[in-house]
Amino acid sequence: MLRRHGLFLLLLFLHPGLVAADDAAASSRSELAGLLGAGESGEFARAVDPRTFSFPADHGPHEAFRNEWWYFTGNLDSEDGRRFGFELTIFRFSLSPDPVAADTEWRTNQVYIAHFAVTDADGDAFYAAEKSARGALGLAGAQADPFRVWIDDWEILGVDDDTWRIVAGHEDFAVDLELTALKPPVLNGDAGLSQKSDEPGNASYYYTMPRWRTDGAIRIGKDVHAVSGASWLDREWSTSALADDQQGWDWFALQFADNTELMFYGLRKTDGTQDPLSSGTWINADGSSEKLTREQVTAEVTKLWESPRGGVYPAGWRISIEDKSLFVEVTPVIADQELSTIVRYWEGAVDVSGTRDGEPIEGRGYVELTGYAEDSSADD
Amino acid sequence: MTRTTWRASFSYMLRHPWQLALSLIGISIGVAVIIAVDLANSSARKAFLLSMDAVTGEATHQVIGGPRGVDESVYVNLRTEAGFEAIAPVVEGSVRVDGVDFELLGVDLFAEREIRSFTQQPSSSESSSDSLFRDFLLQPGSATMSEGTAAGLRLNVGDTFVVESAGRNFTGRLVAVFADAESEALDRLMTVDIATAQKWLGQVGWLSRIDVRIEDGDDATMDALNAALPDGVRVFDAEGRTNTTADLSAAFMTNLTAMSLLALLVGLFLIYNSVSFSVLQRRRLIGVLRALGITRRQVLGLVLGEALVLGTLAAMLGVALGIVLGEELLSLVSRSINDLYFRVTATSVIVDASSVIKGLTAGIGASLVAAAVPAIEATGYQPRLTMTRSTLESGTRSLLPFVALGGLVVMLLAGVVLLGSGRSLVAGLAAVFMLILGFALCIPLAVRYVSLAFAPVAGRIGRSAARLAVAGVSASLSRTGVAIVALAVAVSATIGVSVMVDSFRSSVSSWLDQTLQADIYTGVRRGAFDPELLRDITSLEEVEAYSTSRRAAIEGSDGETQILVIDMAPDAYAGTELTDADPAEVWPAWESEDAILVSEPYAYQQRKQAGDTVPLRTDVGERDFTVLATYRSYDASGSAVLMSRATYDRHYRDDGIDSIGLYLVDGSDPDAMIERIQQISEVRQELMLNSNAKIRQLSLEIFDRTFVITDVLYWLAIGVALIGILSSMLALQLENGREQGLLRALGMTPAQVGGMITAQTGFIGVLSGFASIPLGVVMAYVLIEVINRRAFGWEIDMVVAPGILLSAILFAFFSALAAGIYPAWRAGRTQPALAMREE
Amino acid sequence: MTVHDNTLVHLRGLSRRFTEGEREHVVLDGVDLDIERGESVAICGRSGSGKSTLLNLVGGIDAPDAGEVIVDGISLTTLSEHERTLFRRRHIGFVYQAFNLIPTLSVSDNIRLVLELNNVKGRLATIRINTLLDAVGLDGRADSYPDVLSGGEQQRVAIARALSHEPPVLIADEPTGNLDDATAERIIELLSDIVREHGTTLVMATHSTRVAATCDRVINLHNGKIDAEHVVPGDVDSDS
Repeated sequence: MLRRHGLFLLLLFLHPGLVAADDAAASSRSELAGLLGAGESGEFARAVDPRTFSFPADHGPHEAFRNEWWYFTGNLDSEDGRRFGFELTIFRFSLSPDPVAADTEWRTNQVYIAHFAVTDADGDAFYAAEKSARGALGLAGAQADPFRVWIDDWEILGVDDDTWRIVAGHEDFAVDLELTALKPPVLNGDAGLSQKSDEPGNASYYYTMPRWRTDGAIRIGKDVHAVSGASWLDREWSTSALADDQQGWDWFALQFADNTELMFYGLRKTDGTQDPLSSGTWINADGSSEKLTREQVTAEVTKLWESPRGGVYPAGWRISIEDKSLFVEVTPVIADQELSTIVRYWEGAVDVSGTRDGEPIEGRGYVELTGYAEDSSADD
Repeated sequence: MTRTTWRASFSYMLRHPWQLALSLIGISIGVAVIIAVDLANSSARKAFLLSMDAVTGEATHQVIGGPRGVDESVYVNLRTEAGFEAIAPVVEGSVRVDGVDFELLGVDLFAEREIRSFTQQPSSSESSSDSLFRDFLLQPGSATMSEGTAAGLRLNVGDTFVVESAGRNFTGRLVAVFADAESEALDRLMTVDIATAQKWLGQVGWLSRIDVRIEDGDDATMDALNAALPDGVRVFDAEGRTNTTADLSAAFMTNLTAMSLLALLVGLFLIYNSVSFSVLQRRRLIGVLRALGITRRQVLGLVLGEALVLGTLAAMLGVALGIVLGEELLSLVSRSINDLYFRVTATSVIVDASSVIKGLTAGIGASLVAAAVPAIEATGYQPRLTMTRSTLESGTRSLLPFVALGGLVVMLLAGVVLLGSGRSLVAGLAAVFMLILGFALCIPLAVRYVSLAFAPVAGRIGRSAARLAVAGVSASLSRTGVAIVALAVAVSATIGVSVMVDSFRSSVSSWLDQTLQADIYTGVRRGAFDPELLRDITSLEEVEAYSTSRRAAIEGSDGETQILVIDMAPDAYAGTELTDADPAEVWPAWESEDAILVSEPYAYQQRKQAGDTVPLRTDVGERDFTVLATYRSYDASGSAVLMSRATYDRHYRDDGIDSIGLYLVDGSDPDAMIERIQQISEVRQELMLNSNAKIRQLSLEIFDRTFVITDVLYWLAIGVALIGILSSMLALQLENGREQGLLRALGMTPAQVGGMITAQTGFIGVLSGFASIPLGVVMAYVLIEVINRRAFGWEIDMVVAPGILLSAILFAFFSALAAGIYPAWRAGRTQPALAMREE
Repeated sequence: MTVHDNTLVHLRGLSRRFTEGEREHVVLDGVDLDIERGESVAICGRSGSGKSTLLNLVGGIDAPDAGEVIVDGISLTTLSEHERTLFRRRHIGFVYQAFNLIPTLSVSDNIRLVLELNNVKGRLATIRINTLLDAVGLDGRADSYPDVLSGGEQQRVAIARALSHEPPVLIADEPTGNLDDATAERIIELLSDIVREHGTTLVMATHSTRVAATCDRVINLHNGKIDAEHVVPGDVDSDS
């Protein structure tokens, strides 16, 4: 759910140094207003009505919308029992509603940004890197068939219909993973239309592929570990803006041992309350899903963690869904999984343990926390 | 030493304010010239390095391709296949805005973070929060520049402007400005998106280079990079490239420094003159001080102390003056560097401590050195002994043969240095200075004999007064000798440089006559011809034949090789003079084989001659090219190789043509033709279009412009020399006050006394003029055969125009006369009663 | 006031002041003096008594603040500086204590310079120079330079130079001041002989009574005024 966050990111990236260090969020929002000025954004496509999703076409880019992302997270174990997490996100942005006249190969309105992170739980280490490029000349891009999204040599590509590959590396960490989708795409919100505020069109198209069997290798430093585990893909595109009174969000993507999954995001308002539009999706073992409203899910913070870079994050939750008789504790595998990229946020692997229908249940997942960083200049 | 002693010494100086002032001015100018040249040189170099630094950013290496650059697919491969992150593409070139040349830097902002910081950090953008990235990506023509540069163009953010590139006009729009950093590194630099740069510079599909950052000692990455590059593309050390470029101008700057030292050398004579005069004037005072018990060592300290104070004051004045003068010189220096070597935009001098220290040291050091001789002389004064001037003069006189002998030895040594120093420019210049010094030491003896010989002649012509004037020169050698030497050295430098420039110019001029064979030359300023336009022009019926040319530069590990690619019309071969081979054999081979011709400067600098090979990087890997012959060239780029178009096309993917020479059918009117081509090219591409005669004239204008700074420097040296004469004559006049009083008492009118002084200065001028001729001619010879060769590799035929020599003598005569006006006037006003005063 | 026919130098009410800063020195204060043609007059007095100033006024080198100077019928006080220069050139010969030969000119050229200023040139000048040098006992030294001559010899050259153009007035300022007694005596002898021979009027400043005694008349200057004046009665040796 770095979706909105992604917009922040772009803006900050585009205006390094312009954002006052102690007022990043507020500045970002005003910048956002500038970039996504109503006059121009009117010409972008908007997520107003539910649509028919079709695959593999919808795995590809939707350049009529302002922003879009391919968002992979996963929990992996090595053969010798080491615990790893990874995140590879590629964001796409259209800078203008219409394509620009291509006077040279370099000219484009498409911009790509990627974040790549690896958590080494046993090594108590967290690695992160980012990239950005124009969507031109083959430097970065996205295509549906054959499926491929990439920046430089970081890429997510379709090997065949159900098998994808993720390749990314940066200095002392890298992944090369093969993923097989175990569940078809799940449409979030109202058949894939995810409302973000009351204003019509302020919504996104949002689907999830919640469980991919994942095998491959993770390199930490010079050590290469053969790993396997489960990954999660979020896909979203929109032209919407963040409301002025929204501070940040907590996003949970949990995979339970019984082959069910939970996605839930809580939008936090600046006054500390939760936005009523916060919502989630429950995915059954057979791939069927149901929408969860804010009222159905409670996430109680049980622990706090203070970032050495500034800001206090929640660092443990008790999540309860009465309707599902689900009561679980969510615990980060290591505390510091904060990305010191241009915008600072926390995105990390978590362990889940509790009961469902009175029976003990285990699980793993990823949590994203934004809007907590203070003194949020990235390059500390 | 007591305070009273010092007071006695300084009150003497204060009572002779003009003497003090002239010494101060003389040393100051000497110091000022040194500092000015040093500042101008170092500022130009620093400005270049700073702007290279800013433009190079964090890049440690640069990937360079062939004449057109690097194919952009090489960059994409490095990123997506080879996984290089710390690399950034650059499309660079020169454009013109408002008649001023700008460096255009085309970048991909997304890649800049790894390499350059300034490109992404505008200090202001338009009031709306439109971002730099948006503008760069979406709006062709979006540009940024430094605040100062924008102010210079009177542009505000949001304004549009016309950019002229390769004969075409484009629209630029200022979207943001950078704060002027502590330096002017970003002056006249315009940053645009890489797409805009490709479009403007006509380089679609090509990069000028790829900047790379590789940590020190990361051999693995370096190997990987080398492995990932195709043939014809290579990695170069960024700093090495910058330094190689900066070093192009080193010889030029060394020569300027040498010329600035000339001014100090002349200044040195002046200091010597005034210190020794002040000592002589006070021989009684010193005699009395010695009688009162002051030791020789203290006398030495007193005189040197004065010189130190004087030198320090003058040096400080000189530093201030030098900074001001430096600003003026800087524009001349950077213009010459721009004409000859590389783009540099230094608009104000960067005053650094080392230049100032150099100047102060030179000024104070020179004062002490110059004062040493009279100071030692002063220690020899016996207590209470009052020496008469003539005893002193006879002392001086008896020394003259030894001084002259020393001078001969120094000149011999200069010859040894010249022969033995191989190709060293600095050694060559040192030899020139030794030559000057040695010659200078011989001048006083020569002056004595000449004036002794002339005195009777002068007496016959102009009676006793004239004889008196002439004899006075010889008799007061300790003073006049130095003035003559100073003026002679300064004038000989003008002869040397004038003869050199004159010879150079006549060589260039006859070379132009031979080279410019075509009737009309047309080309595109910094860019290539529109192929269709080229076809249209060359197919005009008046065109009988045409040559095409292309300038390309290929970088190797030891610098750039300029390649002049020519497709010759039948008549064009005669325009290239081969100095060491038979044209009938050379030309066919040159057209068909992997062979080149080398220019004379190239042959000298790279030590290549017919039969050698030159390795050049080509698009198909490195190839050896056989040198067939050396050709004469005074091309501005100097060191170049000449390659046939056919050979070039076999090795490089580049079909560009910069300029063509048109040979017209007999009887066609070139001017009418120029007009016709103008019409054809209008709105398509702006062409530089010149007739044979016009291009010849333009070439000579650029040639002349290059030597303006030379002129300025030697005029400054002459200025110092004239101050020397003024000072000497005033000193003589003060010293001879009684004698002049006597002459007045005997019945000479002020006009007669003044006339006598004028005759004396005129005689000094003529002597200086004559003395300067042999030195000047020898200097010209050394400048042409040694200095020019070592610095630039030119071959010049020496031509000594009698006019230059005559005008040198006249110049020396009249300038000395001018310097004598005031002393003569003062002498005329001497009170006859002075003669009565007892010494 | 009348000027006697035979009076060559006629001074009346001659005053000369010098100012130095705020202070004013009266150097000559109303001096009246007549000197006859062919007469030799010694001006005596202590240092600073105004001897040199008086000589300068007579020689046309200086101009008085008040009073009248008439030499050879020419009133110097009415002349411009340029006219005074021409007057000196023709009418006055100078002999100085310090000889004041021009070091860069030979003995003969020192004399020739003055002759040439009076338009005596060529062979005529050479004959004249030889005659003069012969007269002062320096024949054969014509081509010597002053720095090889002794003091007495230099003064002889100076005397020859001073008389070369046959000026009516010879002004001598302490001509023996730099010479030893024996030489001084010979120089004075030469001077009086040669002056008598040429009929030249001699005005000589000296503080040697012995030298003064060789003159026709001795005038004492004291505080800018003529103190006492007497005609030398004979060859009285009264050197103090």
